[in-house]
Amino acid sequence: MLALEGVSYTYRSHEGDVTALKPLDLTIEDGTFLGIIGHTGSGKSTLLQLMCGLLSPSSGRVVVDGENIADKRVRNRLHLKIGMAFQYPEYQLFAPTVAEDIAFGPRNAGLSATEVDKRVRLAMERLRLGYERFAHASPFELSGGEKRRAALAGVIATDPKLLILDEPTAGLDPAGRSELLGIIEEFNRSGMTLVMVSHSMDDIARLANRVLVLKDGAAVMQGTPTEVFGRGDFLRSINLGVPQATEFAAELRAQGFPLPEGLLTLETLASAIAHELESGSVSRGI
Amino acid sequence: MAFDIAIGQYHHAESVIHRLDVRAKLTLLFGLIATVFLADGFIGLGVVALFVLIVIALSRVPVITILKALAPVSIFLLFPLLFNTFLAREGIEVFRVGFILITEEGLYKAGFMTLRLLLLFLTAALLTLTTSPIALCDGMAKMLEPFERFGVPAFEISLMASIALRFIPTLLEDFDRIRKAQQARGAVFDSGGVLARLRTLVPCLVPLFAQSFRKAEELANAMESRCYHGGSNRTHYHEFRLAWRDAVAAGVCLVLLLVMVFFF
Repeated sequence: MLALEGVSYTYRSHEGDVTALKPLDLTIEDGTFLGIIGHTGSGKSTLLQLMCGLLSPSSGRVVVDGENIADKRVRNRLHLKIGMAFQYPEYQLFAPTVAEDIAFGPRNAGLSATEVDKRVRLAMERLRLGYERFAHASPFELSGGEKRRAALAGVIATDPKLLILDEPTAGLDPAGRSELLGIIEEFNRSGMTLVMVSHSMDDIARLANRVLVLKDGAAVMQGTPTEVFGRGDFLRSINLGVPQATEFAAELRAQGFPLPEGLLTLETLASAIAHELESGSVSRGI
Repeated sequence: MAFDIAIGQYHHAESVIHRLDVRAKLTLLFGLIATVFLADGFIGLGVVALFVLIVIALSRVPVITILKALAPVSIFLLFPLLFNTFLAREGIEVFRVGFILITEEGLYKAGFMTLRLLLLFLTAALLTLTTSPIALCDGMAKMLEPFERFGVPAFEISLMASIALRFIPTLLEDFDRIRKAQQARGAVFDSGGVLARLRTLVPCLVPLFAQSFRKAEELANAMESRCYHGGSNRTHYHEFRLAWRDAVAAGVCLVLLLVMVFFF
């Protein structure tokens, strides 16, 4: 379990002190899939870096499984518990082969050679990278989507309980996107806690079970996707949107087509419309 | 994120010194350096110092900023001061305790050398404080232009230098992000011996190089798709035009030089 207790972050610039994150309380229970939405500059990336100990909070404390990560001994072992993938994680690839790159994390953890090899194979399998084909290839020869998956394999090779992803699908083609989202969904189903920043409300609606909305360094909303996306007017007022399905349902409802609230994905929308049409309460007029 | 890096030490202000043409400023710098070396006594140096102080006042750069700019090189001032004070063996004795001997000659030399170096540093600092790195690059390239007929690639040098300057903050930001990404995978950068530390840099430097090659290619493509090319017909966004103040600056400098040659 990861808990942020009154965590804030201020940095010094030539224009004086800038508050990137206002005091925030946040608890992420094990197994949660937390989606974070907000504009560029809303403090998302600062929040992610505070969660995994790359930044030290200006006030408050970050507690992982009951231990304050301000403690250097805790922080030095933190990468075994928390994995973090920045935007475009493939830019961190450095080793001559994919397998060696993925082995970087487990090796830093001081694991034995056989254990490292086991972790590498497992990570590649989880990212759907065939060992025979990719293990000894140079990471620089791979396609965009493969590079992204190789880099993520390097992040989860230490088998973290919590994985933080900053815009994991940015710059991928539609096929690559849906494949990666499928992989991420599997992670969560197998018990990994996930924190994901995304600009796609559809992806958040489909995957997350908690949503945090950030604006100007402050958490303006926290709740289940249904709660958060149920307040479309508020989200639009801060220039964020709602999932396409929710938007579409709202427009149909405005035209007099009776649909329930809380439709977040295309699948639930489609079946709600089908149900309504079959039950025959809508006969004409649309 | 919070990247607050001053490249060089440019201090922006509205002043006549800032507005001087870079070429005039470079000439002025070389002229001043020459006068500093021509002066062979305290009076001569005093005249140069007075002139430098006037330039400082005109430049509107705060004294504290100038002192900060001098701080890193101040160690070089200490050497001539200490060596001349304590190692001189000729001249009239002023002070002696055990093997420590301080002579009038030594003190004179120490003061003279230190003041001379200080003036050199000050004039050089004044140039970089009042001229942005980009302008400095462009100005130097402009001064190289006449040599183009002898095969000096002045335009290319200037373009390369300004692109390099432009990408320093970008590369620093990239480096910071890569470093953090590797840190999140358990890389430790702040422990172990020199060799161990160098080895931990590899996972950061390889991606940094890969990224800068990619960026260079992107930039080249972007420039080519806009039909960018160098050559003699190319105009500049920043035009170099000499103004009366540049002539005045050069004139003052010449007078100072002549005064130094004939009087001190």
